Amino acid sequence: MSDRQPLVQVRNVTVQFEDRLVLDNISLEVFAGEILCILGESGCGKSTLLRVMTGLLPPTSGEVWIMGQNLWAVPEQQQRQILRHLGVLFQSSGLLRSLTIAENIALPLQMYTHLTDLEIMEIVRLKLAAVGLSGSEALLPAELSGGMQKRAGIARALALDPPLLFLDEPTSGLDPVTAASIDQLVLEFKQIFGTTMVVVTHDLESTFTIADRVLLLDRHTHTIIAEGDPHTLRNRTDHPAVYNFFNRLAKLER
Amino acid sequence: MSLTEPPFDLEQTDKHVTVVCRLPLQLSQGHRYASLWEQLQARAFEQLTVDFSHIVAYDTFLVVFIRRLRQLATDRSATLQLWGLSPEMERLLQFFEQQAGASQVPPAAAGWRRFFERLGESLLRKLEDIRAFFVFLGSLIVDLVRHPHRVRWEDLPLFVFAAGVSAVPIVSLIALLIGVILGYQGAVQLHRFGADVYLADLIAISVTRELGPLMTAIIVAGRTGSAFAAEIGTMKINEELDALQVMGIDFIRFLLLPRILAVVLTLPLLSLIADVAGIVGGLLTALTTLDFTISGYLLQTQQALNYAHVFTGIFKSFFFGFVIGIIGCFQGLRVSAGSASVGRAATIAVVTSILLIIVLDAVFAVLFQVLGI
Ligand SMILES: Nc1ncnc2c1ncn2[C@@H]1O[C@H](COP(=O)(O)OP(=O)(O)OP(=O)(O)O)[C@@H](O)[C@H]1O
Ligand SMILES: [Mg+2]
Repeated sequence: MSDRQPLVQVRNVTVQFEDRLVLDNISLEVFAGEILCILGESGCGKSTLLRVMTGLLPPTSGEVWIMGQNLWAVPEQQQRQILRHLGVLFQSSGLLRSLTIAENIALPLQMYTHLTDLEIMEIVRLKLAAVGLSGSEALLPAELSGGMQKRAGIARALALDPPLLFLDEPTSGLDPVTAASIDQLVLEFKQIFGTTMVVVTHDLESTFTIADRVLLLDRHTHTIIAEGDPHTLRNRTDHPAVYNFFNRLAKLER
Repeated sequence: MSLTEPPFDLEQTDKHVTVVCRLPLQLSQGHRYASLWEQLQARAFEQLTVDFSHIVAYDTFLVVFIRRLRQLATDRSATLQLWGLSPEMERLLQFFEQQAGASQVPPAAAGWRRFFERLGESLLRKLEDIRAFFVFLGSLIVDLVRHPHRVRWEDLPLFVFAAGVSAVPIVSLIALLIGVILGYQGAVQLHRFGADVYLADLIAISVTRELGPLMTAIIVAGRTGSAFAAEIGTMKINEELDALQVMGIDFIRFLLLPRILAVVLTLPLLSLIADVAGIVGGLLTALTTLDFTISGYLLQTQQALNYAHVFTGIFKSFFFGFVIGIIGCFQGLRVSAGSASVGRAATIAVVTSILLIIVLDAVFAVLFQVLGI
C-alpha cells in the first residue's frame, strides 16, 4: 500500500482525560480509497480516536493531517474547510431530533451548496432510497427504530458525497440482515464514489466483509496492538489478545 | 474551468436541441446549470440530446440532473438521448435508480384543494385533541374517586412546595403592584367625584373577587403548568412512562395526581396571599395620594368586604388550579417525539390554561350575577 497517498495521517496522538490515559502515542495512516476498520474492546478509545480525527476533540499531544493539512494547527476557518470534506456517522446517530429526517439530510446541502430546494429534496430522496429509507422523509428521528436512525445518519453523512467518511459502529444494534445490507451499502459507495472510509466497529462479520485493513486497539496498553489484513490477523496465534479478539474468546487471565 | 466559461453549450436545429455539458456535474457546482432549465423551458423541441462526454468530475448531482432531464422530456413528450456516459456514470445511475425506483412521491394537490385539505385535517386533529382530553379527564377522576388510597401521597409535599411555597414571593409582589396600579387609577377617578373614601371598597372588592385569583392563576400557569408539561414530556421521551407502565405502576396515580392535587390545594392559598398583598398595595396608594389614615382605610375595607367576595374568589381558585394541573399534565403526555415537542407542549399548556382560566372566570362572573352572590 506504500505506493498510495495517505489521505489521513495520525502522528503520535495521545489523549488523556484528567489523569486517565485513553490513547497513548497512536500513529496511523488512512490511504485513499481504502476501508480501514478500527477494532477494539468497548471503552478502548475507538470513538475518542474518531473524535480526534474529525475535529471534535483536540489531542493532548500529537498531530492529525488530513489531505495534507494539519487539522489541529490550522486556523479555525481553515479547519472548517477541511471538515467539510468529511462525512461522519456518530455512534448514537447524531440526528437533530427537532428536524425531520429529510430536513436533517438537507441541512448540509443547504449550508454548503447553492442548489435549489427542489434539487435538494431530490438528492435527499435519492440518499434515503440508497439507505433503504424511502418514505421516511417526514418522520422525526424519534419516530424511527434504532437501525433506521443509523441508516438515516449514514444518509446524512453521505449528503455531500464526501471523499472521506467516518462511521462509528454503523452496524451495532442491528439485526444480521440489516447489518449485511449496510455492509453492502458501504462497499457500493466505495466502488462507485471511491470513498475512503474509517469504520469503527466490534462487528467481526462486518469487518471481514468490508475491511481492506484493520487496526486493533488495546484497552490496557492504549496502543495499536495489531494491524493488517483481517483474514491474516485472525489466523495469527502469536499474540494472545489479538487471537482472542478475532476468535471471540473471553480473556482467561485474571 | 474558469468562472467565465459557460457551463454548457446549447444548440437548436429545427425541433432538435443539443446540450453539451462542460462544467463538473457536482453538488457544489450544480447551481451553475440553473440557466439550462430556463432555456429548455423557453424552447419548443421534440428531441433532446445531452452530451456528457466532456464531464470528468461528477457525483450524486449527475443523478439528479439526469432525472430532471427525463422528467422534462416526459412532460414535453420529447425523446431524450444521453451521450457519452462513462460506464462508471452508468453504474452510479443504476445504483440510485434501482433503490429509488420504488419511491414515488404522491403529487401534491392543487393550491386551493390543499388549503381545504389542511383546514379539514387540522380541524379533525383539534376535535381528536378535545376527545383525548376528555378521555384523560375521565380516567383521572375515576382514579381519584375509586382508589384515593393508591395515589402517591408521599410526593405531595414536594409539589406543594414547588408549586405553592416557592411561588409566594412572585405572587405577592405582582399582587402588591396590581393593588398600587389599581389604586392610582381609582384614586384619580374617585377624587373627581369627591368619593375618595370608596377607594378602599374598589380595591377590596376587585382584588378579592377578580384580580387576586386571576393574576395568581396566570402566574402559576406560567410557572407550574409549563413545568408539569415539560417534566412529563421529557419523562415520556426518555421512556420513563413506558418503564412505569411495564412495572405495572399507573403513572396517572404515580406522577399526575400528586401534581394536580398540589396545584388545586395551593392555588386558593396563594390567592388569599395575593388578596392581602393587593389590599396592602391599595393602602400604599391611598396613604400617599389621598387623605387616608391606615386605620381609616382598613375600617373601610372591613365594611366593604363580606364573606361572599372572598369566597367567590377562593372558590374559583380551586377550578383554576384544576385547569392548570390537568392541562399541564395532559400536554406533557401528548409529547410524542423530539425535544422540540417538549417546548411546544409547555407553550401550549400555558396558553391553553390561561385561555381556559379566563373563559371560566367569565362564566363564573355571569353565574354569580344570576345567583346574586
Ligand atoms: N469526555 C470524556 N471525559 C472523560 N473520559 C472520557 C471522555 N470520553 C471518553 N472517555 C473515556 O475514554 C475511554 C474510551 O472511550 P470511547 O468512547 O472512545 O470508547 P469506545 O472504544 O468507543 O467504546 P465503545 O465501543 O463502547 O463505544 C472510556 O474509558 C471513557 O470513559
Ligand atoms: Mg464508541
